[in-house]
Amino acid sequence: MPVKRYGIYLSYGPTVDLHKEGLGRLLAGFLKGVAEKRDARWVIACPEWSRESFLRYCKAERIPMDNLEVVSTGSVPFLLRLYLGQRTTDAAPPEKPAEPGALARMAFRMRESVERQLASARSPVTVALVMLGAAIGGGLGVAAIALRRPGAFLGWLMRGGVYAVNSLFSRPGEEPLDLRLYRMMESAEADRLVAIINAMPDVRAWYCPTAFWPDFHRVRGSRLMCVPDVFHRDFPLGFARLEPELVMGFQTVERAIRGGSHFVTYSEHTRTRTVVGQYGRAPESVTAVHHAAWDLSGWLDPDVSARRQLLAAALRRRGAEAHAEGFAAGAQPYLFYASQFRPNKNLLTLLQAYELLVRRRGVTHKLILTGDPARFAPLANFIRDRRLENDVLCLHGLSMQELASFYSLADLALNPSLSEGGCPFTLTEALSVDTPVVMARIPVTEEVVVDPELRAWMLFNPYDWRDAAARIEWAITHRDALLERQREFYARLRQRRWEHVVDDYVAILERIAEGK
Amino acid sequence: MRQPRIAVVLTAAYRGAPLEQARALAVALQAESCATSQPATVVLAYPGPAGGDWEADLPEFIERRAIEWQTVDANTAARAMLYNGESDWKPSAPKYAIAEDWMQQLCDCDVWVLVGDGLSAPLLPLRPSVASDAASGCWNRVRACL
Repeated sequence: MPVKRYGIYLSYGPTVDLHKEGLGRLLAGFLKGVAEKRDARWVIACPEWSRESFLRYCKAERIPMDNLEVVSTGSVPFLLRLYLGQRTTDAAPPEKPAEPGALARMAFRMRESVERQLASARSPVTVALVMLGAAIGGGLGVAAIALRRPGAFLGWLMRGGVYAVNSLFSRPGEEPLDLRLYRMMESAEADRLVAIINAMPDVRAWYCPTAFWPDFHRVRGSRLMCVPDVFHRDFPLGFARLEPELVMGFQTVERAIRGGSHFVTYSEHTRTRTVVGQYGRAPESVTAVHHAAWDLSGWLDPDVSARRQLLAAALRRRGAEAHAEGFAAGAQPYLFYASQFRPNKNLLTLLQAYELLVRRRGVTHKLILTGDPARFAPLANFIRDRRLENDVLCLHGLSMQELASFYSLADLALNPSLSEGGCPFTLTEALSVDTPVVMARIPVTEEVVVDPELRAWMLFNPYDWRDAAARIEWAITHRDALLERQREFYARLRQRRWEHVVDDYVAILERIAEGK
Repeated sequence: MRQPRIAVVLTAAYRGAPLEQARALAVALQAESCATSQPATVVLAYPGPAGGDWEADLPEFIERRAIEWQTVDANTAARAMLYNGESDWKPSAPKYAIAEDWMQQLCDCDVWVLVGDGLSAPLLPLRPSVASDAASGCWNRVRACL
């Protein structure tokens, strides 16, 4: 029997780092599941600019490539190559200021002389001669810089060029030319990608793992698009207060949902409330597929003191030197919530609950968060106004080893989020390294935590910070009992592996391919 | 099936009769909804600190929420309405009033029942709102919004 082929459509921008994308982790899980299934081959179609980073990502994630093949658009647009080259030199660590060379020293001396002569010139002929000399001297100075630091010079030239071209070719209030060019380039790349895909009729069906890429709907074959979430509808003000540019992304997602025919979601809640309820898509065209359980144990150092050192190093890196020693010695208990800071994450409810515990209930735990407070003013203001700077520690950009270590050494993992596309990762990430977890009672979590007694033990009302505080306090004092109960639960959850998830997706893709 | 949510929102930090009216209204709406096939959760939203007198003796089945009335500019208001699914909405005032609860700005509730008046700017209509002037007809107007 011939091996069936399925496709995955990826259209990330040229600078996206898959390690930093939530979707990247899901894709890694999915592709590991794919690797377990020998009865099918999968084609990954992506722009050429993503090819290398995708392959590097697969290597770093130890994804076997035996039944995967990568097709791409073949070449990278010239302007983008230029931009990426300049970006690389910009990203390089700043060079130590060099001692000025002989040419540069001469240029500096000439500048002084020119200024003096211009200031004292009496005739226009003298001024003209001095300016001619200055132009020659200036040119020599620029040449000296270009010879000594070509990367910085190219970057400066490009930024200046982009600014000048933008000023010349953009009307006031209009999108700048470089952004317009970028969008055109993206669109042209999508055209090429779709053309390549449409020339592969033997691929039975294509899967697009996000709703950010409406061009996917131009693929002629059978298509399945994932809609992870659309939070804006439920948090309109929270998102409206963020960058105005987010509107474009939101409209892209809406266009993708309205233009598609078959969808998959991570939860029944997102299926019924968002895709069917808010966007009016036919219920039979949307299927919910739950994730497999996460397992962070493979990222853990078996030596506990090494994990503590990892914590201390992460704290030092973020300037929390004063706390590092306590963490390194294992003497500082803490609560842990790993998440970006976004309007749906319900961070202020967690902080209000935590403040009550620390100030009135004698809890000595620190609270460790993994976002950047500088990018989320309500949280930064709350921490400052309530003087919680020494209690709430924010560390962002953690590696997987650090994340696993922080989870494993926490007394309790928390998740107060008001809305997620699927059951929060926190649940199985924490339990996989033997840390109990307390979470918000939201529909996507209740789809997975179905036992009423377990719900009562581990879930709180996310709209009531006092209920959150009471549940967290109970969990701290009953940690062993909660963990024992949750270990049994995790043992059941981990029965579902990524190859089972892939089976579910293949069943949907087959159904679409057969026109059922 | 998601349980409907009704917010009874005071427009100012009233004491005395208006506060009592809001509390009584919250209890009455909860009781009315229990007579239907879809009992609602009722939230009393008060512009004052959590744990204040306004919460005292409030029945357990009424959720309480401290809010602060704030305003947003017309551009932010337009973006919020766009995200809310109303792309044709255009601002007609320079500022709009919103009830800041530091969670979802009461957007978890399906309808807002306003008690009192005196907002400093027009209310941003992210959810349908009902004035509580006539308590007897209030439930019918709320039910029409659920």
